[in-house]
Amino acid sequence: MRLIVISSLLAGMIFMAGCGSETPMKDMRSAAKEIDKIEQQSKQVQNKEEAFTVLRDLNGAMKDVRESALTLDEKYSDMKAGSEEFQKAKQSEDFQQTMQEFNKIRSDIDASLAAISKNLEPYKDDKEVKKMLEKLQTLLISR
Amino acid sequence: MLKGHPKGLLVAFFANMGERFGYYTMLAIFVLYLQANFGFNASQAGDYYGGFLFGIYFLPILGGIVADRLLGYGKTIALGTVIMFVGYMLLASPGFFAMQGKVIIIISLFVISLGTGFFKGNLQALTGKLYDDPKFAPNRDNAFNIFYMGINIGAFFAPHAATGVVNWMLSGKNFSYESTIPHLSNLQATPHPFLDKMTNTVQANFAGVQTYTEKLQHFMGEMNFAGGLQEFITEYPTTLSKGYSGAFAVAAISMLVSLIIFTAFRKYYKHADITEKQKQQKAAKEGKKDETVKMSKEEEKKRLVALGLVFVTVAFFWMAFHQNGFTLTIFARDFTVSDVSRFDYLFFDLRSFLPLLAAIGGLILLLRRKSSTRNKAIGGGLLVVGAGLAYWAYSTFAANPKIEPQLFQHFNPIFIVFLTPLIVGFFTWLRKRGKEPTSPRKIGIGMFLTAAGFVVMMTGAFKLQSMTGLSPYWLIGTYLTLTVAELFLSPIGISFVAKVAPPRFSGLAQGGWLGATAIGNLLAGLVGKLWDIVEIWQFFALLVGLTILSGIFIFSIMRILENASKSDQTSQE
Repeated sequence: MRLIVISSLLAGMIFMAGCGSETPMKDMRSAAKEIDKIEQQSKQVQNKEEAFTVLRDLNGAMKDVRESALTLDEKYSDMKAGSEEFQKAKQSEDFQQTMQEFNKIRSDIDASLAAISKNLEPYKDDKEVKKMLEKLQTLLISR
Repeated sequence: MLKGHPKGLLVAFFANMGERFGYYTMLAIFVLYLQANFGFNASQAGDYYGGFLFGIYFLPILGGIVADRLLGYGKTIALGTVIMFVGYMLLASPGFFAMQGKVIIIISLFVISLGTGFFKGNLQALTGKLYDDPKFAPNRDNAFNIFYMGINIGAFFAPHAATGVVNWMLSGKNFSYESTIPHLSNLQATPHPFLDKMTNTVQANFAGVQTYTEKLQHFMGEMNFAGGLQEFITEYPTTLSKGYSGAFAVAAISMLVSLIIFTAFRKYYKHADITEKQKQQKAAKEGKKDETVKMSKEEEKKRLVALGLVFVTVAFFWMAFHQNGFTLTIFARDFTVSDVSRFDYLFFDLRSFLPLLAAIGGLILLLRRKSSTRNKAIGGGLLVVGAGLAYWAYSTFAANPKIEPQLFQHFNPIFIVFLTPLIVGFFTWLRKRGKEPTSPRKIGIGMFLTAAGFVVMMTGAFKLQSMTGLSPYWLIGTYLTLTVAELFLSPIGISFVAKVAPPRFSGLAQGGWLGATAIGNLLAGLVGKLWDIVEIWQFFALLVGLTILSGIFIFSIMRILENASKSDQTSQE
């Protein structure tokens, strides 16, 4: 009985830990959906606490966006920035197609971010909200 | 505290302290080194880190077999130290000799793990053997508490030594330490078309968003770097890498110190440095009667089952406890306020923290009723000097000091060092009244204390629903509770293994204990992956639940464990 309990605990943990990502583009799309939901949420914001919650959720979603973008970039990690090799890769059909798909999702995110930013404007001077905004400022380039 | 203990304990204490100082010096910077040197992301670095930790705690099983069957404890321990020295030197070499080195890194990590495997469990087994003498036997639990303190003195100073060496190397080129530069340099050096576009998108909607190029240029300005951006992103990581290599060389030197201590003072543990097999061989060679302890197969089986059950349970403890270097550090970075008051900063700067602790120790000596006049005078001196030095350090702090997340790591070892005498005193006080819990009960209590530590985190995580960051005292409180739990569980567990292990498997059993730690480390990594999937409070609630279940499990098998530790050591076959 004890062995069964322990084995179930272990198996459960391994299963839950395995519930990870699928593909970077799918992840990006689901993050964009999440950001769209956050945009809807931002329309209802009435006070600084709610503004804080919206930004906290946005930071969480933007982390997923960062991970997906970095995964897409991994393909070029053996090249040098600005190198001829990379310029060539940029011309490839594969790159163009991926970028096209990426740009579609990006423009959705762009629209949502613009709306969120506007909706939170009255609360941007609050101390806690400000801190969350500072996190957002470096979120994409930190690890 | 050392009354009633053999001198060999001090040799083990200092040899262990030297080895752990080197190990933790290396560990403090290892992930940062991998990221700076090879541009690894957290997940890639985590794979190396996890594999290495697994080797460190799993290979003692091999070390135990080598000692029990072939070389004996002393020789295996000394050999392990030499192997570790070679490993740390290999690890230091790429930075100094500009060697291309992922392969070298992997080889050196394996060599260090192998050396640790030969050293760690066998030193514990040898320490346990010192207490087979009935004169010392009642002090076995306390001995391992003291032994454990040695580990933590080494661990406490190690990150500061590593940081010191790295900063010294950087300052040679007028650089200062900035943890994000290697990552930013990597972003700058290779193409990131998708990340660049996304950064521009966020930049267009929120003021103050910086690109990695802008951030790097900001650091160049701060450090008055005269060259260009390309030069900066090459020179800074190279210098940093040399600094890390310097720290690995320090680790290698501390292995030599450990070896010198262990071999020079052999006379203090020589009598205990004999395995059952060696005893039998000696008796046969000298034509004497074999006087080794013979245990029936049934008795051996009973003991091995008890050990196995404890190993399974403590794996869950290490799973929870080793969140300290993983998710608790992420929590410190992302959800704990980094701008603190000068008073709070007293606990994060060694120049103030150590004198403060000395002053507290002095105050205790001064107020203790049983203290002699001499001790009261020492206490008074410590109080005045400690408080004076702490105040001096306080006066040098900036108005709003910033705390780095890795600084939280020093609380666990320092709490161990200062709480050990209290816990040892507490157990001795209970023993005198006939109320000291048995070793398995202490382990069970330790599991519940671990759960209590994570209840603190869970409560803090609830508060995060409405604020950006918590006060650092939440984490400090958790570290304090987890440390008390560790003192109930880890040294006592090692002592339990030393007591219960069938004599012919002493080394192997200590290896098994460390093997359970290895599995706990693996589980820590697996559970840690849930950090990004579930809510933070749910993550800590899971740890609370698992540790409570483990505590209940230990108490449910208490009879088996207590019978194994009480059973007659001399039962004959």
